[in-house]
Amino acid sequence: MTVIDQLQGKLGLSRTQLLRRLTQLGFGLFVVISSLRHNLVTSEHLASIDAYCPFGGFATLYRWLTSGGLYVQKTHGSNLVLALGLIVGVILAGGAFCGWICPFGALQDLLDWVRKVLRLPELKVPARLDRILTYGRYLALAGILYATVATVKLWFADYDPYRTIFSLGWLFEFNLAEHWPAYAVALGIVAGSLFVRRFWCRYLCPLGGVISILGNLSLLRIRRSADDCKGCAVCNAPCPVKIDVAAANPAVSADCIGCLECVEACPRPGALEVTLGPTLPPILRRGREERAL
Amino acid sequence: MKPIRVNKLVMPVVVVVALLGSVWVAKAAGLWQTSGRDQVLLDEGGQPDPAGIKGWMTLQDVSDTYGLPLDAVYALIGAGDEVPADMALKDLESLLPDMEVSLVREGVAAYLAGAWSPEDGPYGAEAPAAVEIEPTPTPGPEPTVAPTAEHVPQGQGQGDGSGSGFVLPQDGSRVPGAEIKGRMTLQEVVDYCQVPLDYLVAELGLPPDVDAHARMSELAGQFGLEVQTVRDVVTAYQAQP
Repeated sequence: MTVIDQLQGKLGLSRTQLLRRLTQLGFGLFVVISSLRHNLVTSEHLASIDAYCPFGGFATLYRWLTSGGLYVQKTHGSNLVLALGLIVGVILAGGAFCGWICPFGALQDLLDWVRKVLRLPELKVPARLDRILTYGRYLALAGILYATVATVKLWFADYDPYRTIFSLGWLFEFNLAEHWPAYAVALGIVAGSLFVRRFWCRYLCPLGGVISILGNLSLLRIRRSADDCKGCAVCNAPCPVKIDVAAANPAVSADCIGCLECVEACPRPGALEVTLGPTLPPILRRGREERAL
Repeated sequence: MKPIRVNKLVMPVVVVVALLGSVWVAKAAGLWQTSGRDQVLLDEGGQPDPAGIKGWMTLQDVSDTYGLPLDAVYALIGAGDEVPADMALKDLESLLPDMEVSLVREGVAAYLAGAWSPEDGPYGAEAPAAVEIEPTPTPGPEPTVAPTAEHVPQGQGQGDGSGSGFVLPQDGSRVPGAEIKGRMTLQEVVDYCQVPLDYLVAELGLPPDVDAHARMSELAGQFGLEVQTVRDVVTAYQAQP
């Protein structure tokens, strides 16, 4: 029996989900250790976690393009490189960044686990309200980009819950009087994520907004086969972002975070699979379907 | 085209490879930069250029990078032993009233050129005599403040390195953004660099009713403004056709 098998048995996870947790743990540890070193090792100029955020690349892009290579404060070339890597990754494989890499996504998964351990209730957001709230990501994205361009500052840095938590400023430079807005936002998001799965990702994450838009172009998608699917909707239950996978026609929503839990939950072989192929954006797809009718 | 079924793990593998691959390519191409502190600005002779001194640098950094004894750095800014060597210059600006990063740049340059030594006392301690100079024409708002002895720019060739170090071109051309000093007011930047005040205020994220006659070092304390940001914004404006 291998270590993997033993871990699987102890945690009650499939091999794929164990691999996902380990990947999340790896990237999460990288960010935490980078942050610790940045705070503790003052003899060297070590990078802060600001430098490892792809969203920083989107935030600084306008300034970089219009100023001949200047960055918004706290952002660097690394942010642009990561943003470019993210764009390539999303166009090729959708939002798997959120499900496998993002440390803040991993933290929310951890909070969901804590909720289960503590036997706290999960708040189910009604489908209609859920759909409306998902637009919050685009509002956040537009607002943050506008504020960054207008102020030439990394405006969101003072409120960003990812930064507040993972920069470890609350541990090394706790200052309630100065940073209370950031602490309040972070606590609110943590509390929300404790009761609503992937609360931040679903309703507020500006990077999620970018990924959701670009995800419509992704080549690798989870697709539902109408011929093989019997509509049992077993696949809907484990989805952390509450996508109606059973209604996918055929590709699941671009909000998918690629966690693959639905694929694993599906009891019908061939009904739900990861496939490679171009997917028309919803607007064009709708037009084509209408013409076919 | 009919989609092809693939192994489900291809999805995460592709995303991880795309992200880490972009980092690897950027590192190989020398484009991976995680801090503005990675590089030391070198002059034409390949030596560290004092113009590259930044607010985040500590006294020890200045000493190590430019080869000054630490005592000389202390003497240059007029700091006592109570100031720790690992304190950043920008933090010292709020502690020492006459201390400015731009003065440290000039002082280090003067030291390296043999024009200043620790025996001379703190660099730029004495204000220079006021020199009357007509402001250059500007497309922005008319200057509303008369130059005072505190912030009068020195004429070409009249600077001795002991004042603000600000040199106004005599030919009426605008002052390059890189030469902006922390002791200048926003209005002076507008007048001498020929940048519209509205543009400057908006780009720096300052409130529209900001006091244009306050020194930038004062605005730094109020709004977290960094002089380097002002330089960048002005340089970008001046680079526009």
